[in-house]
Amino acid sequence: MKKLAIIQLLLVLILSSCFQDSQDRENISLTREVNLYTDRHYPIDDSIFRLFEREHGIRVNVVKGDAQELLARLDKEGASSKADILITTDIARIYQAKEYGFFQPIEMGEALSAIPSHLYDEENMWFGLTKRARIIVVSKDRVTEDELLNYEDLADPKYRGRIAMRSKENVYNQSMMASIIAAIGEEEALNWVKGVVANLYQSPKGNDRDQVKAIFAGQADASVVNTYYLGKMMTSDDPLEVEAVNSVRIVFPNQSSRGTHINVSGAGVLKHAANKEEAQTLLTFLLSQEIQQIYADGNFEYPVLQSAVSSEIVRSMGDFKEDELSLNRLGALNTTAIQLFDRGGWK
Amino acid sequence: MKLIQKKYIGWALVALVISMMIIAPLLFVLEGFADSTNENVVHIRKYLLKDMVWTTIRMILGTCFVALILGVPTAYFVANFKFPLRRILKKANILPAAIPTYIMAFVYASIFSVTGSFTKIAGVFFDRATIFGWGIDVITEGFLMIFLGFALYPYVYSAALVSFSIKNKSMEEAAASLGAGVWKRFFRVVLPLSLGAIMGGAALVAMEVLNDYGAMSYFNVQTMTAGIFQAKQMDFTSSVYLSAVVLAALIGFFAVYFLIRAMKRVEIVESSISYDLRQPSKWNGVLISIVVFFPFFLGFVLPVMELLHLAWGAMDSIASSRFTVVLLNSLQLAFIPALIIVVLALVLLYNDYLNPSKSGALLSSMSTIGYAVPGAVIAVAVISFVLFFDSENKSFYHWGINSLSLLIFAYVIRFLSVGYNTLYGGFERVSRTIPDASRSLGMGSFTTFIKVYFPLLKGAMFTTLAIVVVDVLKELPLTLLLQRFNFDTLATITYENAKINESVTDASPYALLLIFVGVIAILSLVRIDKVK
Repeated sequence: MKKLAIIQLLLVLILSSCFQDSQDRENISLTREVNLYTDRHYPIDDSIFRLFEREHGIRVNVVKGDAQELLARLDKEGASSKADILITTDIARIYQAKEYGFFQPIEMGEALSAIPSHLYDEENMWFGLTKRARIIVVSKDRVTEDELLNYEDLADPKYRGRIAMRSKENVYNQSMMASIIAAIGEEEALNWVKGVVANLYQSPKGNDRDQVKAIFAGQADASVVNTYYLGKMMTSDDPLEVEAVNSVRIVFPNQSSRGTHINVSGAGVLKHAANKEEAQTLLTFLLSQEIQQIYADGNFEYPVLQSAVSSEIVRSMGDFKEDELSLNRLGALNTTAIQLFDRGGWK
Repeated sequence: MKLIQKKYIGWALVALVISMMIIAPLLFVLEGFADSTNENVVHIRKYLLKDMVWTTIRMILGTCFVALILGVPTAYFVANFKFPLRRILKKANILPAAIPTYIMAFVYASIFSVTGSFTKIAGVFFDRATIFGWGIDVITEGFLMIFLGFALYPYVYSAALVSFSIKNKSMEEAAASLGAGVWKRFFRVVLPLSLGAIMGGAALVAMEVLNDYGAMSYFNVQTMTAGIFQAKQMDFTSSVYLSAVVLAALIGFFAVYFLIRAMKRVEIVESSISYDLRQPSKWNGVLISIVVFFPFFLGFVLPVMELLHLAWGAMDSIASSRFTVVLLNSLQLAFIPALIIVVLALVLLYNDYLNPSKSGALLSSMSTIGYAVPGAVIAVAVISFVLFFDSENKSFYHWGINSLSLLIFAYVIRFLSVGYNTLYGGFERVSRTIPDASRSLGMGSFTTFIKVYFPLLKGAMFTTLAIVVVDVLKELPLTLLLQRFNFDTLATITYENAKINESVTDASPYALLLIFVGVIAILSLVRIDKVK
């Protein structure tokens, strides 16, 4: 009997959920809408979309997924796709979308000209929403201030067994690799991969935070991470994690040459968008001073809008010169980057 | 060989349609072979394929080994001895199945991370330098086998338990009366008799290993799944080729498996005599309790404690309204395919009984192949399949996405195997004389199905329902690909937080809820065969 009661209860729950719209927001009737496929899984994005709905009366519908999967779905759906906007966390994937002809030119007038020209596509197919720098972190105790200043130094034999890295599968590593190929050429870049692999304290693994922790525990002396993970560690509720991030010094690489490699979260309007106007309204909104500031404060990313300022935590990491290489070039070199990783034995 | 009797052609047709619906979308994966000259595929073949195949085999063997070590002895003790807390531990050892492999891996990595609980607890007794000096590092291939084994040993345990409890008792008693000792009886009589069931459990473990992407990627263990992922990174249309390779290998594997199963059709007929559990001495009983508690502790108590500890600090970050919506989404999404699967599996099995033929059995076996195919591959296959037959404006596809029908369809393809194999055990135990009698008394095949099989299989059906529900709750890649707008499940939110935001702490409340729902389903519905 007890069992039957449980099953009945579950069935009622299930059926009731079938008939309700699975929205956890106020029941405002919004007639206009815009549909997003996004690879950004940050909670801050949801609050930004709610803000947009309130201000513009346009409902934002979101599918979150891995960029590759979203691209595959877009490819299959073709002209019948309901998606209006694609957002990724990395230039390589947004470039692929452009190459496959998924986008149409964005017509946003003045809005785009407020961001630096290397952060948007020459043909206006996509632009960067936020920026992140892939920087070097070194042990404060074991690496002096004037050594290890460039990505190239990571391959220096004097760091044998002292470098930590995450896997080649990580798209941020792939784009960093692409920037190195663009700077020093394929052959030298392959030598760089081999040099770094020889220096690894262990086969690549873990996430960005784990690389910092490996330095904290003394297993390695240097690694490469994205800036916003450092921000998250610095503001962590866990004192030991804060202690870990405080044990490393941040090095913005290649300041006396091309500058530090940066990457963007990119966005574009899809070719078959049924709600093109709404899509452009949303994208313009995301480039506004107010929202750029929310990105900066809430997620420790660098705003692309020059008039917005980074969060205090991010500013504490210091100013830097960034590599202003065309981001499309990084996207174009993505496959070569993966191939070089494989040829050089970077797992 | 018996020909299909005209009388039951209806059942045969229904079974055929079910099988075709399951198999047809998977055939769309094979279009990938057209792609074998793609330069990315050539690159992967040249630099990675060999390594990936070996890594996959190592991971499967290693994880199965851990699962066997944890599952088989535990099942043996539960099936044969009286010991303190036996009733509780008997069910407890299924609970780790409620924890997805990726959560298990993330949680253990978190416990032993440099800033994790282990360092903090050890910090009470040792200074920091000493702890770091031990160089503890669990993010390795070997430890991943162990952690996955913790999450997957219940598959082996439950299969072995059913087999140990029912099949072998008479044989074992006979061996005992001939003077064979405990160890000899176990290795010479019990184990060989239950090998089929245990291997069935191990096959499920192997397929779960093949399907895991989250844990493998975090630990950077490059199995075939990682290869598919990399092919997708290089060109999101080219990954189909590798998927096709995997699928072709699996079809071969299943064909062999089927042949083996078909060859040894001799089953020991269940006797109705029940056997008493043995009563060990008091201290041996306590020792057995500890041994049986050990896998449960590693697979459930420890990870759940860590999650509770982490969630304690993250409670304020959770919007309770979202919590409820996500919970309801997950429940809805888990129960509907589970109910469908139970019905389909029943029909397939009943058809196997009514119309016994080699081709029919092969068809049934083939329609359970989805379990071995990576979820993301099934999802893309389903999309291709539906779009291929759809009208110009693809209205059916969009209806399918919005109503979640495509997602549910994909779950059915993926998990029919679990339902079929779980019910198979129940079906086997129904003595054929009863339905035969019913039919000889003039009852139609449908009446017999409803009046005889249904009541007899009620327990097995509930068990199957629970097991499929737990599996669907944990499923990830499929859900990500076929979701509609504004849709989250417990699994997707947990994964987002743990993998992408790199915070097991933020993931912990959702992970706990996911585990909790699974535990409720298992405890309320699973019936392990009663041994007195």
